[in-house]
Amino acid sequence: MPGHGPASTTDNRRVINLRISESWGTNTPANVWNAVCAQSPGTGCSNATGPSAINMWNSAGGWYFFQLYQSSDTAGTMDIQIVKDSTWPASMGDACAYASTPVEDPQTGQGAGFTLSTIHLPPGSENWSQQQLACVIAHEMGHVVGLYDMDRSCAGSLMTAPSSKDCSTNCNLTQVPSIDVEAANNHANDRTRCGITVLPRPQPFYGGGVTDPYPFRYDPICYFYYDAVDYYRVCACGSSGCQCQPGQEIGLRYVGTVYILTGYSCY
Amino acid sequence: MNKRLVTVGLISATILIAIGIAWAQIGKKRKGMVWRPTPQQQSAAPDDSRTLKEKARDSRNFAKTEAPKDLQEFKSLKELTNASNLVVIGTVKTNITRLSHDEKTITIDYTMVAEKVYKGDMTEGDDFTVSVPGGKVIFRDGSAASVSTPWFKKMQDNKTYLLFLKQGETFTTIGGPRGLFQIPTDKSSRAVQAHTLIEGDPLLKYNDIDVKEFLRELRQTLPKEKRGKS
Repeated sequence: MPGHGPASTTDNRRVINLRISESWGTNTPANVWNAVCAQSPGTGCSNATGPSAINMWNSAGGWYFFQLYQSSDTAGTMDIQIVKDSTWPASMGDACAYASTPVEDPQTGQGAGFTLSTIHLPPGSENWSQQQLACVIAHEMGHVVGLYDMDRSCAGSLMTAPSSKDCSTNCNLTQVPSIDVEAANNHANDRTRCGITVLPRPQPFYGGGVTDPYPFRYDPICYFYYDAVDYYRVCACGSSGCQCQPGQEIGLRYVGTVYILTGYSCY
Repeated sequence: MNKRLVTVGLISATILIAIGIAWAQIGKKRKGMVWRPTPQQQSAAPDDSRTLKEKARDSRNFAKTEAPKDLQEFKSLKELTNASNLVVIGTVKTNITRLSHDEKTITIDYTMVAEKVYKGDMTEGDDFTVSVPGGKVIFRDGSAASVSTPWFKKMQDNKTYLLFLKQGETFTTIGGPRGLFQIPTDKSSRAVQAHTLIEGDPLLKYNDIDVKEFLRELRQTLPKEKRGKS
């Protein structure tokens, strides 16, 4: 994630701007506001108390410096917006939140044509506690900076899937563990790896290839050629036990493939 | 008069049916999706003797595309059945990628449950493991290696497949993607999907075929005592 230069003359961390969208209403509920930015720099944030997602990441160190930046200019200066998604898709099942991030072809680096990541929270999330909101938003920020969901059997990560489906209570961390900071740092300078971040489900790929001339009705005398981009989710512990031992590789779980039209020939 | 009308009606119906069949055949052909290497993949450097772990360490994120090679060819379900130790319909429970013992390639190991056994020594309800080529692993130093096999449409969790398998350390599909077909399990579709994406593969003819017709042809390939109804 490129960010916006150093945090200050003495702090080289990359600045990442977050914005709370208008979807929360004219006045953002206090618990939501505080869960995003309490104890972090900025008006309305530095004097707020309790846990916040920004402070969880900033106080853990790492390469990024997150800050709330309530500008209406979302093209260029904004990196992450936090929305209450009133059209919560049925396909999300019992997920407590999800992040949509620009997806890139790992080989060409071509992206989906947008740079703003969005953290979606479901209707009713404004009633969650500040601590729960902070933890859930911090988890989604982990996806935005390139982290995978971890298998439930591997504890000790902000990215570990919760054991309970109760979205109002199932996220208990108030600090970002060092394992996640280390992983985010590994991704920070490697855009190809950030581009293949796996979210709860594969994201559509819009870049590269050529436009399908007959998306709904293939011509009988045309041949269509595709390339494939596979998507995986981290599954550090398999049926044969935990594979995240020193010196061993981490197995991943295949979740799907996006096929990209690369060419066609008609005769 | 009535006789003439009946004759005209019969001829019209025959012509319409013939047009329908011809259209369906054309439809089968045009729905096929195939893979061919991109210029980048064609010009890729030849493999060297280093392991994937060593390559990942050097480039942080090593990716290669494996071409389909030395795959046995088949023209029909009968040929597939004859070459298999096990013919089974199974549902994927989960999967995990695994680095091979020589660390030169990666497989996706699927844990499946047998739903219907057509040939071979297995009981319905048994779990079994099927390995297919391709996958990605992350090493503890943060580097990653991935092997792409875009000519092989992979299986997905919770979906059901007909597999033609041979026994080794784990089961593998015969002929690579040729020994794998997705079987519809709900009412939204009755179409079978071949998992080969190899251009010109004769088994692409089974793409989009009705599942009832497909399984009928499969049963015809079995010894008489094994043919029962599914």
